[in-house]
Amino acid sequence: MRIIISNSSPDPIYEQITRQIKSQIISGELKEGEALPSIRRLAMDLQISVITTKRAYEELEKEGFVDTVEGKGSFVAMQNKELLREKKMKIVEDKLAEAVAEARLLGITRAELEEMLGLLFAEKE
Amino acid sequence: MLKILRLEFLFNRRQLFIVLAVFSAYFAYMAGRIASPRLFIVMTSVMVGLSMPFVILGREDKFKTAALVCSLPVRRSTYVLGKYAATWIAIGLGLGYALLLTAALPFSKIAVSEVLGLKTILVSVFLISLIFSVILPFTLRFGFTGVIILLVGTQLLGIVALFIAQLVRVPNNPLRIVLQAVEKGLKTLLHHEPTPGFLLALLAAILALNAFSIFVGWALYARRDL
Amino acid sequence: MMDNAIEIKGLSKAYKGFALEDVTLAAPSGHIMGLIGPNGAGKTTIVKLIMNLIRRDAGEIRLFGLDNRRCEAEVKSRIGFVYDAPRFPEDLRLDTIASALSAFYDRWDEVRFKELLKEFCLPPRQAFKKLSHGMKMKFSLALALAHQADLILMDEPTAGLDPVFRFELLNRLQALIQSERKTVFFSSHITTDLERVADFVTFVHKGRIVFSAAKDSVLESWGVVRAKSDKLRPEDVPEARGHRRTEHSLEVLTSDLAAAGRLLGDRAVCDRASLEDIMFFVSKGNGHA
Repeated sequence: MRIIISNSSPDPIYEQITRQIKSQIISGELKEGEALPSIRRLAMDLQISVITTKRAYEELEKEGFVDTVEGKGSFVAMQNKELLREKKMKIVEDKLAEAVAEARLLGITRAELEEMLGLLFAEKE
Repeated sequence: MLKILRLEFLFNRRQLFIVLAVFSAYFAYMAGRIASPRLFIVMTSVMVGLSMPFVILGREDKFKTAALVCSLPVRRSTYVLGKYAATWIAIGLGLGYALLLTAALPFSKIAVSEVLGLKTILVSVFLISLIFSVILPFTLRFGFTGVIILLVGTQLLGIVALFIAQLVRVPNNPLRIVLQAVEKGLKTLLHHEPTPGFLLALLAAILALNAFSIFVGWALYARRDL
Repeated sequence: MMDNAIEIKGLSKAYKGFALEDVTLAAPSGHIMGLIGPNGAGKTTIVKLIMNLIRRDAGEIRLFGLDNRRCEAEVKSRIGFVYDAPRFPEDLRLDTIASALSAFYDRWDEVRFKELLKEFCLPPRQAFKKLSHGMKMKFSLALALAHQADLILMDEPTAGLDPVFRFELLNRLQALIQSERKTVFFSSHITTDLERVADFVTFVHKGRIVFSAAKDSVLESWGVVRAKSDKLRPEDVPEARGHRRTEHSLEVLTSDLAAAGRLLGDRAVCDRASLEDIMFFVSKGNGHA
């Protein structure tokens, strides 16, 4: 599991961690049942506070991505295929919502936005 | 307690050897010059009594070893007791060494048998107790610099007293009175018959002095901010 | 749920010209707490009071749940201390010093100590006075770690150390608290060190505690608000804790960045505060640059 932390990012560190772990779980990089490093181990590796990693893991557990077993550690939770798909959709939906909000602010129309979308998809091929 | 003593010895062993080395010259000189065993006892006692506390306590201010030792799992009372015990052991070493030199040096005018007797030992220990029972609590509380101040202070006081005596034209020089009293006291001690009563009184005085000094030392030290 | 390695309540100590007043803090086990504050704020005094090197005037100090005075020896046998100017008799060799001190600790691990000396590149037969400042610190640390202390208590451990060794030292501290039983408490005025490794931060200023909280929440909630002097006054900023004026601009420290952001919107730039900012503004900030 590779996590990269940026100190200059406006996002709180625990959020950076949760986001990266989430995306690795969703993409399949982190397999179901796989053990995650202990909160203390992770804190030391990332050179951050153990409170931060604890919070990140707690968030992940709340959202159902991770199970923590007392005395054993934390593991990637079994993902319901449907739920997984939903989670993936949610991530992109959130980003799109941001884009839409920004577009509104800047006065970009829906048509222009859809055009942009088309171009971007074409690009990525 | 043993741990403390071992630590004191390890920390101060070099100073102890230096002092003993300096003593060697001094004792050699004294052994050659002094024929009176009584004078020898007094001088040795004063020397040892004055110097050994400094060996055990002298480097504290410089190295803040007090703060170090008191950070160890040791109670302050143990620490204070340890200082006294260590000082007495050092004194024992000093006296033993003095006797050794007296016996060993060929030009020594004093025979060991003259100075080695229960009474002389007790008198010696008593004199030393007198001296260091004052110095030790003072040093524990005020540190090495405090002792310097004490010594210098008493000197100055003596000078001031003399000066005042001159001014006021007191018929009897106060300093001389004090010195005469001390001399008389010493003479009485040294010449007194070594009756069991006298010896026991000495022993009691020694124990009382030390106990009192330890108590005062501990009381002062317990309050000292390190 | 979390036991506290250190619990201080209402601690006070008065000197001529300086007083520590009503200090209350708790350092949870298994974590690193940093004590920050400018020089003279009272950090060293707090550490000395914890070790009972100086007598407190009032208040309570409990270490591992035990009173630090009544159970002095027991408590100290579980503490490894590192003071900012390690003082050992200069002419002694390292192994002699260790020999004198190790006898006092039941849990002294000679093997571990030798390993640490090797790791720190400290020759055991070297005289203490021949060591550089950094090496003296390392020696102090080796001694503190060798007896498997539950609490490592340090006063300005990184002052005067080069960045490389500071980095290593902080790493080592983090490695230490992999065990939940071990706790680290250190005072420093080098805020970046604390920002890196501390779980909790206590800020002391002029003998009083300004805050004692999780480092993350401090860094998330404190902020610096910047604007042109004509657009903003210190009173406009909620929870202002100090400000600084430069020729054209005003900078205000706030302990509630979110509220400031909401209230001031576009009028000012709101950034997160670093521990250094906090220390600076609280210490000096009510005046001109």
